[in-house]
Amino acid sequence: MSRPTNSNLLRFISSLQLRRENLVSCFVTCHLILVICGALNFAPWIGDGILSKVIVLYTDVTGARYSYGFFAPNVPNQALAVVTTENEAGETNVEVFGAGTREIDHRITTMMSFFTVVDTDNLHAASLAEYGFKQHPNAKRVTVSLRCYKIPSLEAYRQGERPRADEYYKGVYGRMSDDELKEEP
Amino acid sequence: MSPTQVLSKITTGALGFPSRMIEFFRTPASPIPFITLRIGLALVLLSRAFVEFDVLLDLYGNNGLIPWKISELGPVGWVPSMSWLSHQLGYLGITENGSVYVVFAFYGIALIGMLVGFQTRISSIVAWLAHLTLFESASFSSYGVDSFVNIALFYCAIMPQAALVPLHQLFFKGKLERTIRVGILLRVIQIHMCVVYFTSGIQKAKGAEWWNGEAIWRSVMQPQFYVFDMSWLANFPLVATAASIGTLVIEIGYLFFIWPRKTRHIWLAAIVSMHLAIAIILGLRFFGMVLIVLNLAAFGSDLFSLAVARVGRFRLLHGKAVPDQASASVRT
Repeated sequence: MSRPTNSNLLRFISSLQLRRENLVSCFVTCHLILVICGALNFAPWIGDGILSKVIVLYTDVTGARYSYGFFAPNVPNQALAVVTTENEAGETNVEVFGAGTREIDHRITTMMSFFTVVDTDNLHAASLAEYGFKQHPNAKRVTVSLRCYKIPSLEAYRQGERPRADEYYKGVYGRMSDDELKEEP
Repeated sequence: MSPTQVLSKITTGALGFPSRMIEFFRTPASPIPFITLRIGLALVLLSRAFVEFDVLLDLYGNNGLIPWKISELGPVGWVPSMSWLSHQLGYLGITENGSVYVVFAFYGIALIGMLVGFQTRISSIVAWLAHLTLFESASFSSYGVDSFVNIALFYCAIMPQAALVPLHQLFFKGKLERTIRVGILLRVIQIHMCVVYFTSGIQKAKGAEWWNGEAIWRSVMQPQFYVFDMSWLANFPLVATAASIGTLVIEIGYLFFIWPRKTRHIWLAAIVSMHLAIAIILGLRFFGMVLIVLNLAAFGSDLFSLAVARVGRFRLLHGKAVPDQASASVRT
């Protein structure tokens, strides 16, 4: 008498498992489609609708939106920043951003390359100047020089040409007076 | 073979393709790849957290290299930003800098939980969310490694139940059950890695620098990657050319040669070597290590099974019981 009940229960459990596996399969298929679209920089769902926002959110938090064109198609020039702080006594302190190989230097270089790509050199320099003033509270003036590190080709290097850092932006920043700060919105 | 037979073979193959695809996805797999991913990733990220601790506020603080008002211009959906979190924590008397340390502490504790297998699912989810929060507050300075960490942490957050086994139980667990659900999730990581390398290789192949060695030359000569003096490459341009074309071959070939058993280990060794070279020569240590962990998790599980089997056999030879004839003959 118990056998029919047991077999019904087993069938129910296996149907639940099958349903769960089918759900997982459905989820992974959608995820992989989004991964492939992200890698190809193909995002036709971008828009104002709720579904669009949900997909954008999903691809942002899961990483499905990323493309993988590192150093592609070519290796870009690296940006360097030379920040010179000067105090009332005329003493200067020079800090170069992007010249080191530590983990933080990779981050700084990435940050600088972003500013270069979106062509916001003034914002870039101002951020570094603000950082310089915070690091050196006695500084009266901060000069930020943004430079592009140009590497000659293999052939040119053999001919004697050497890498150089060409300045493409320079900003000189001073502290705002108390009155000017009060007027700031 | 006659044209009719060829056509028949193609049609049978095409008709059988959907069922073979289903079979491909629904192959049972052991949770070892996910355990590898969880433990390897936790170790790498804990090392990185240790290195970044000294410069935490410079990277993620509001008074750091980039203030939050600029770095949070593109918010990541519903993930709380550092500025929002800092505002909420301010009600508890925690300063802006303090809130960075709070998030980082949660991140570190979650990574330790992932590593040792304590409340593993919750730890993985917390680590993933904490990473997203920190990532967003430092979005301008986040590079490739952060993208792959985000992907890997997501896969850890959804890893199968069988992979949540605590570290101290791992070697005493016995045989880990192979299930279809684990197999399906493993295929996702494997296909994702194939997509990464194939698209990366194709995009590189579009640049002339990757065919004449200039890409390698320009990479190693940049100040940010100048770990060793590689200027000697100028006198041996063929080495640079071989390295850059080799990179293209390894990345584009990954999709085709990582699947067959005969070429899998070779290709895995090649890709791991490439990432080791990136870590050592370019100084991108964490980037290299995260990608090595992802590759070993995706396609290195049979190597681990072999290693575990050999360790197990070693233990059996020198332990109390000798289960099989081969072991018995060595013992005598």
